Amino acid sequence: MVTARSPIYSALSLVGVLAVTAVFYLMLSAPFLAVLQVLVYAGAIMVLFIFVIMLLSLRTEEGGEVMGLPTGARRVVAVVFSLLLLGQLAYLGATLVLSGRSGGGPPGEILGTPVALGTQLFQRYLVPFQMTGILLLVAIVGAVAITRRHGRRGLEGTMAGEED
Amino acid sequence: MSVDFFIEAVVKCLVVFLVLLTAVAYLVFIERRVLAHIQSRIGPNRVGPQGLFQPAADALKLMTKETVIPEAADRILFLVAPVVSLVPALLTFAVIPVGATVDLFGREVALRITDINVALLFLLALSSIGVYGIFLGGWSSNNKYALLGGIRSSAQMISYELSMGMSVIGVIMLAGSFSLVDIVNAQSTVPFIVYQPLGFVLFSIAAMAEINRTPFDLPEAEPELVAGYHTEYSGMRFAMYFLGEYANLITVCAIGTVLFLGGWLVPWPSPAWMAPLWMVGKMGILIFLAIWTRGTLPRFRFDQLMTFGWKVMLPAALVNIFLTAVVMAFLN
Amino acid sequence: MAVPLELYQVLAGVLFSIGVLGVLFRRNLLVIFMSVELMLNAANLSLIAFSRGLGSVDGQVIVFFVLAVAAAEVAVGLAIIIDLFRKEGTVDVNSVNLLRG
Repeated sequence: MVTARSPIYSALSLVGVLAVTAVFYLMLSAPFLAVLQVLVYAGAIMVLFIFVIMLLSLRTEEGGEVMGLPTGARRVVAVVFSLLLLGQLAYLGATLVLSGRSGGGPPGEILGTPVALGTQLFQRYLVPFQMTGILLLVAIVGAVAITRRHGRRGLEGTMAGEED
Repeated sequence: MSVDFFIEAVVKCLVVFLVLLTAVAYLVFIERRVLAHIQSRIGPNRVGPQGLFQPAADALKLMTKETVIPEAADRILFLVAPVVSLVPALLTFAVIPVGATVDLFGREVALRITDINVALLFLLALSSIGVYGIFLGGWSSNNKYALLGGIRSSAQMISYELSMGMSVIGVIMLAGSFSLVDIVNAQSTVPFIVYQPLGFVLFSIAAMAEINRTPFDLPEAEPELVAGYHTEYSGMRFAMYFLGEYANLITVCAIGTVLFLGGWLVPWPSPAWMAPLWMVGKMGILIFLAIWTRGTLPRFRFDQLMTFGWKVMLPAALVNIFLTAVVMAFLN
Repeated sequence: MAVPLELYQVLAGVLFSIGVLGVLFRRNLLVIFMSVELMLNAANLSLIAFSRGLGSVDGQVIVFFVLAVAAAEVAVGLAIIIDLFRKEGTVDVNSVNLLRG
């Protein structure tokens, strides 16, 4: 995704990653979250991303060069992170191989059923749940407020049209 | 996982796949005849007795047409987009049950491919994925009419997805589960349409908007935007979009039957193998309603459509949830 | 024959690092934003893996909230990017170098 030449390909690769991650959630006994991931993340958030890319008509990176090779401080940070990445892989892989464990077996029953999650959300985590609702409302209002032109024109005038 | 289980699953998938494709092909034909009668004409009746071989003729024509790919189009996406539109429509039938269990060859065979405990959410997720086929087709054609049609279609679909999801929350509350088998079994006394009339109406309207059918099919209407997102498509790929749309119609009517009309259950005792027939009968009623609507109502203008979806359907769905919750709290 | 917990952490770590590289190396604001989403997903994966490993559903509840917050963040972030595009005419990150505007 980070090396694709066109932002649309990046977005579609990210959708692929989200779909595969959803399958991982299924394997980790979280079926509710797996389906929610596809519904919300891959099905709505990425659609929004791709809309924006299309509306701004960004087919290829302007200026030819996709990756701005970092200079100065950014180069140092980039090198450090690359080393961290390689180090992570090496260390974790090594401990895994050396310890020889095979991890927990499949769980006796599915942990993340809608009932289980719903119970927690409405009992223990009720306040965060309601606050998330308010947060989403704030985000919607904010997004509309930021993109609202003073001349009462919507986004390029082609989408939702005028309010009456 | 024994070999038996595997064979059973593969056979079921094949059966569903073949039945579905045939049903979709004949649905196109049925719609043309019914629409014709609504419009005081006859419709295709020349190919075979009463025109029953028309779908075969159509299929042959579409398959032998040359596939034209515009030169400046994005090749990979152009070829993949129709598939992305068709596959979710077919995939929904993996969780839709058409009957209880039946004794076949000495085994208890459940008349569904599978049943997951989040089946209803799975259906909503699949319709979210179906949106990709539409606007990717529009964008990859490199044609501004197609792009505009694609974006309008998908904006319409995601707006009504919300109402569709919320209109079924009442059903989920009544049944207490996301699993479609549980929902059908919860309707053994009374179908949910009696308890959720508003929910049913909202679901029907949202479903018609979701699958881009009249009266919500402005993005594909011929006088507008040439042909919308599938302007540049021809031959087999166009057939895939076309099939996808009608498969979606069957899917949505099947979901409506399962959620509101009681699936395969009937108030009189009936043998287990007849269950799919009852289900198809009920689906037939809903499909007829859809075709009738198409023949009768004019289309919505795009901004009227969006206004309706956000300002009327969404509050109505919320009111429905609220009322259901209040009534359930008082009666339980 | 289950996948061991450590392997999920490795995967989450790799995804996160790829996201960081995306943020550092790309110039298109939208791709940078998508890389941030990738990092969020890596964290989600890690949370769910641990939730399964410890046998508690709390990790999944947290992921639920992260999902909702990510949705809100994307909405506002894209609105800002659109506004930026209208003012600057480009989404190159190097053009966002004025505090006023």
